[in-house]
Amino acid sequence: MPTSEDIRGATTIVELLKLFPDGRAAQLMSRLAWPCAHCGGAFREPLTLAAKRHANDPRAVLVAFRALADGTLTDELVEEARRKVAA
Amino acid sequence: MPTFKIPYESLDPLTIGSAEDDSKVYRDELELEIDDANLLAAIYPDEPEHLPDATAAAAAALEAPVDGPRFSELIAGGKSVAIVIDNQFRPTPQTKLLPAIFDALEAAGTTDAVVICANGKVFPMSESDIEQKLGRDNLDRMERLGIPFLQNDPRNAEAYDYVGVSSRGTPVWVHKEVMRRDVKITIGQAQSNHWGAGGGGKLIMPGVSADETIESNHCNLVPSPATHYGAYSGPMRSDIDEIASMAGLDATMNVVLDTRGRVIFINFGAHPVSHRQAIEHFNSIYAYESPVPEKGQADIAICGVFAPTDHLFFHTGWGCMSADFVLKDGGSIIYCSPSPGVHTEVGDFPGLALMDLMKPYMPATPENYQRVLKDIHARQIQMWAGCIWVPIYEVMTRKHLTMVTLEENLELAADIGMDATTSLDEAYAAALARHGADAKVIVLPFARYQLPENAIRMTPHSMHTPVGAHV
Repeated sequence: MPTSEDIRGATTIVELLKLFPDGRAAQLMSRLAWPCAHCGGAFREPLTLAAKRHANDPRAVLVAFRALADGTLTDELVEEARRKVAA
Repeated sequence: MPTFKIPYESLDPLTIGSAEDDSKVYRDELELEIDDANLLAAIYPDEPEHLPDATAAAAAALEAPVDGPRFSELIAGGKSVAIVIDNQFRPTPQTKLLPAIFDALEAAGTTDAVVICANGKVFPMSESDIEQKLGRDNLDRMERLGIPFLQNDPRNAEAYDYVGVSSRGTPVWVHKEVMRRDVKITIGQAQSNHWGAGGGGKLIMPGVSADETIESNHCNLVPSPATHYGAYSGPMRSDIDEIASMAGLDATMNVVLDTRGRVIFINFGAHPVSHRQAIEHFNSIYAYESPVPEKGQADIAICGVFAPTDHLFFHTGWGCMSADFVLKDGGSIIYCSPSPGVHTEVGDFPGLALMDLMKPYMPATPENYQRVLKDIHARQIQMWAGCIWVPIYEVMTRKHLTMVTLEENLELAADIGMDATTSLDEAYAAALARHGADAKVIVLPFARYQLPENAIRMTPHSMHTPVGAHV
């Protein structure tokens, strides 16, 4: 299983999906209202750039995915990552 | 009391839309008893026999175009050729159609050709998907002939040529590998749908177009009330065909598939005439005389699904928009779809994948639909996916949708805020409780294909431009 150290801002969407073959990364993306797991356009986009493009806080998104890897993801972290921020 | 069979079919999560292995197609049926007094209509299409040899039929079509030059004439003189095919979520049997194309290329001595997948913004096919979609024999032949296989790469700006701006304002960038070829053809499935129609020029846009082109077209034209099932002349489909013309699409090969995924019609010819003819043929089989003028709208619609692409509700659920025409506002759609999900090389996706994008806007209400429209405008909703879930959501603002599905989908349905159950009888009893014992029921067993004839718009209506306003 991946750990938080496996996930960096430069980790791409497709790499994230492969790190979680059970679909948990795809589920977290859908909780952020991102279609990235199915999107050919964003497939090779780094996580923090994807966050920026979706107007989410890149730091909060990175923290959420790292918490997912560590098994410490909470609803509060998801909400923080979901929050839209000014570009 | 008559009993109706409702198809409840799906594909193995390990296979793709054009599965030729019948063991990977699950053809279940649900049964429902409906009192004669409740039945408004039960519409089962009269499908013709399928063609015995799709490859031979494709070869014949290439040399008997419905309009324009024969394929052999198009490619004569050493012209380069781009062949655009559909992706893993369309059931077109490319394995059987491509040999006819390759025979013609070999006969013409073509030295520069490419096959490119019109995946739009959907994730690319895996190696396994490619082998299932194109077939090992075709891939080996392509290697021998030096024909590369490419997939759309919509956010790679370097991969696209700027073509211009369509009359509806869509900026158009199309894949260079298509644009640089002398002859451009598409091979796809012709079907009426909630964007007007699928296939033909749609393999150019969104198929091999850039992100900006796809989003611009979809954001502007999907929400239009004039974009609907059967609206071939509607703004969405018209923009698509115009963009395909701008890109220089020469000709299209179009197949109509029956509800078991078999080829029942094939044609070839100049864009857009041949595709239009294929859609007319599709409508002649699957469009039905609306019972509404005589009997009024139904209170309850029972919809089934058939196998060719049935992994995700995202793809099976289109019939919500066609059932909408014959159902009262406030009525109930009971949509029977197993939606087992799909396995991809990047993980497993559940049956309600992508439908979860509507969760931030639930419950589906007219007020929340305004939030959806504002977020489309702000480009916070990606409309390559929104082009499906947004129309379903819009229907849900006016009708009660109950999904009858596999137990494994219930948790995600509840999380999204969708009504779902594993029992058709239970869903029907609940709908009768909502609408009363006299409720009128329509059965649309193949809802994604079926549309009322009076929804068809093949010819553009004249624009009522307020000329005086400009004087």
